[in-house]
Amino acid sequence: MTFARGDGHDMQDATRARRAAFDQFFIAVERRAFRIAQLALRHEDDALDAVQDSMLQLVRAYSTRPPAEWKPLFYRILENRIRDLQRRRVVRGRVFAWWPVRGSGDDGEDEFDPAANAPSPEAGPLARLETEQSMTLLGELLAQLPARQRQAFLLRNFEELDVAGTALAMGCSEGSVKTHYSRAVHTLRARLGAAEREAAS
Amino acid sequence: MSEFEGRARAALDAGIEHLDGRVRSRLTRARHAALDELQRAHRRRAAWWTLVPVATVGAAAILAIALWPRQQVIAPRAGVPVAQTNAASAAVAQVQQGPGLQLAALSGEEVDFLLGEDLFDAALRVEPAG
Repeated sequence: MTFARGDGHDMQDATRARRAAFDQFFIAVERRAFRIAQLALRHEDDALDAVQDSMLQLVRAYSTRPPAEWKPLFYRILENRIRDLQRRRVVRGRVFAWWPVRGSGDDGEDEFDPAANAPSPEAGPLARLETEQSMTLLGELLAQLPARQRQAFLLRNFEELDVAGTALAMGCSEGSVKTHYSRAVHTLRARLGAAEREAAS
Repeated sequence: MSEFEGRARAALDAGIEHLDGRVRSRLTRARHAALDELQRAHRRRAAWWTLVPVATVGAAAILAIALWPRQQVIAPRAGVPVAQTNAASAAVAQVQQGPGLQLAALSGEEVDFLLGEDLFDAALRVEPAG
């Protein structure tokens, strides 16, 4: 049965090619996605969970879609996940507001992991400090933006999605994307200027 | 892109270059978990496709069983021509469904012969005037 054998091989090849394509895609987006989630959630572990869930959901639900659609779909899933986590946090905050805070550091979970605590190899301490300062300031300003404006700004400016892709990721019209982005840029520019003047004086 | 947008972009880009080891390690694990899930999803989809012919045959069998008794409802009676039996069945259906349906297709003699006087009178009562 030459035909059946060839067919099976073709399917395996296609699966392997798709896996490689997804690998490349995730490598390209994972760090930016993490930063976007971190800026929205202000919590590292929650951001990592959101990125992982989004990756899983993308391959479960949209693995047959063409690669050009993956990025907007991925960011749409990520945004939904971020919103879920924010809602859950609000509910948890209400329910456990009266609960005593658990002590940290005495339960043996914070063991030292050399690989996890290794510094990034790319930059020296001074460059890192400057970057972290810029990121902190920008992160604070972005956190003050309305969610839709922050989303439009990060997807357009940081992830470099075009207007159509951003609209697909945000689930709104292209006109709305332009409006949100323009307002975000104006607000950030004004607030960054004010922050820099404050720092200079 | 304006100068401000460029600066913001540079700050965000620089931020992703300096992720610590723990974050990079978690992202790598997340990626591998997603790729494993992709493999599982492909296997599941392939399994579904092998079930398609079986499901098709099953559905066809169910449909055949469901339709089989309907063909036997109007069996020709002994001594009555098939065409007359069908006409009688149509008349019965029209009488049961009430006014608004045409009885004109059947001649009075045919219906009288097949249904009897009472049923024909009932059919005439429900027929719209004019």
